[in-house]
Amino acid sequence: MEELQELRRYHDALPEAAPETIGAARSRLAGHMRGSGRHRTRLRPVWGLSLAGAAAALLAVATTVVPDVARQTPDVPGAAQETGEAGRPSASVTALRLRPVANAQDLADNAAVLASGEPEWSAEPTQWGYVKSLNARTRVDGGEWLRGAPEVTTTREQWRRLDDKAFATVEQGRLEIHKGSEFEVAYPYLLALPADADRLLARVYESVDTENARHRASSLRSAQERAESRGKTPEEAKRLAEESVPELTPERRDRWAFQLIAAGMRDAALPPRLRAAMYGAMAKIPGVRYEAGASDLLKRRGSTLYHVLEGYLRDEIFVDPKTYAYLGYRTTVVKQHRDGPFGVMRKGEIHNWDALLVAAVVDKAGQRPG
Amino acid sequence: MHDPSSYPAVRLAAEPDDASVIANSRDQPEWFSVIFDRYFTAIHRYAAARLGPGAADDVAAETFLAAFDQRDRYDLTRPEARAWLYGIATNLIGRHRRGELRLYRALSRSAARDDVEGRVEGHADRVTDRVTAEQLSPRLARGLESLSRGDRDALMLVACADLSYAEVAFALNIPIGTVGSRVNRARAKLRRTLGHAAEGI
Repeated sequence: MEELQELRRYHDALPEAAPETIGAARSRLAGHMRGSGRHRTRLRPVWGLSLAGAAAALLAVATTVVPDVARQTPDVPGAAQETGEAGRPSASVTALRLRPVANAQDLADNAAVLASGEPEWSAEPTQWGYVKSLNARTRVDGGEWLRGAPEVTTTREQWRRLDDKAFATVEQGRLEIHKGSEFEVAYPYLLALPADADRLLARVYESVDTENARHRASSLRSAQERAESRGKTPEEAKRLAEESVPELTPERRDRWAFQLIAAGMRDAALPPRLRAAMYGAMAKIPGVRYEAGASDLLKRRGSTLYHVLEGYLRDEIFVDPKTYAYLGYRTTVVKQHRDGPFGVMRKGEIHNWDALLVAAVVDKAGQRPG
Repeated sequence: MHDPSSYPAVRLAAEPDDASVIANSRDQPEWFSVIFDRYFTAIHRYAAARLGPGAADDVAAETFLAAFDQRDRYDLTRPEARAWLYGIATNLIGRHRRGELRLYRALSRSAARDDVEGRVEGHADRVTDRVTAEQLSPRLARGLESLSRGDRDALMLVACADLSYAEVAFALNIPIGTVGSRVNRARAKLRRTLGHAAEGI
């Protein structure tokens, strides 16, 4: 046994890792964990974190797929649209049908009216959705969360093929094309969503329920196996597992639906009609509210559609009040909340904040619109 | 705010086991810092025993990056992540095989230096100075250098990391019988190097 004992003594007598070594390793891990969230495939609710992980930042859509003439005539949205196509409302009719916005539904209705004045989307599956966005740094290596305006922001560009067979990013100045998709919500899934708000929302809840059932089944299974491996009887293990994996509450289910739609808007250039239907679906989610007079990350004037989870965590999207373009996304703590082993979420902390700069469909990865 | 350093190295009864923490980290990556806090110093010490202090910093840090990336594949029926982490660290150490052999050579040369006093310097000797304080005999170091990589992995996991044969089998993804034969072969070889009389195992 001597050689084993000697090895053990040698090992045990080695000095402990220096505090700076531990600190550096912890920082590396923190950075790595943030980076990993950038392209997530799985569709899961993440209550306390940003949608696609804290660094996600690859947001989405305000779609300039077709020239958005309305933006150049801010006082009468849609009024400058020349239609020339039978069956579409004329510009003046469109303008008349817009009405003052008092709630989420009004906002969605106006967006739908404006979008109906735009031509059909005719992008090919092999084209690319280009998204350029600005992301606020909300936390450094597990430190304090951002409050108020951010000191550091990062601009990101991404190209994502409409069939989700590839995506591209700029890494250290070089365009890198990656196979497959690692996004929260698949592009083909988004583009196949019904352009009718009710049907779209029904589809979204269907996805949430399917995903939740799958996730819950696997969590229950592993929790039960864990309990059994600790010597519990199968009955006990089943009971313990069910206690440790609570059912999705209706409120969390609603939040998940809200996040799924928001994640779709963040990460993809979308047809205006679909985007309008997504606002409409959000407006129909219980608990979703409208607020005028918000200001986004770029200090652009915007309205918001928001949802507050269990009284403490507010998720919102910003919408341009004239063009109804999607402007960005933010998660804010609105009430102190005890958060698992990580301590306390404090009122005023901003956990995620980003803004969409440009979204458009282009022919090739690396190509920019205009 | 979450301060990872505030976590005790020894887990309290009420704290979730590693499997629960890893399960949570799949949705909420921040949970993974709990695994880091529980095991970093142990993994670092193990890497230092095999590679010396410098390379250990890198390997230990990379172990947790790799573990984080593999957390979706972690077998949640295993409450303890220890063997899993040692397995990842061992794989990474395998990429530094030349560094490991250099360390053992340096340690074994300290014998020569002990014999011929007054000889000084060179990088290897500086390494030796740092490590001889930890009392690995030059003969044992030479023995370690002579082992095959697989035998050395199994031996070091048993001797340093204090893993059971079953845990080593899991960590290295080899049959448990193979662990036994590797450890026995390694020990027999070391004993020959050490000049001990062959004993029953």
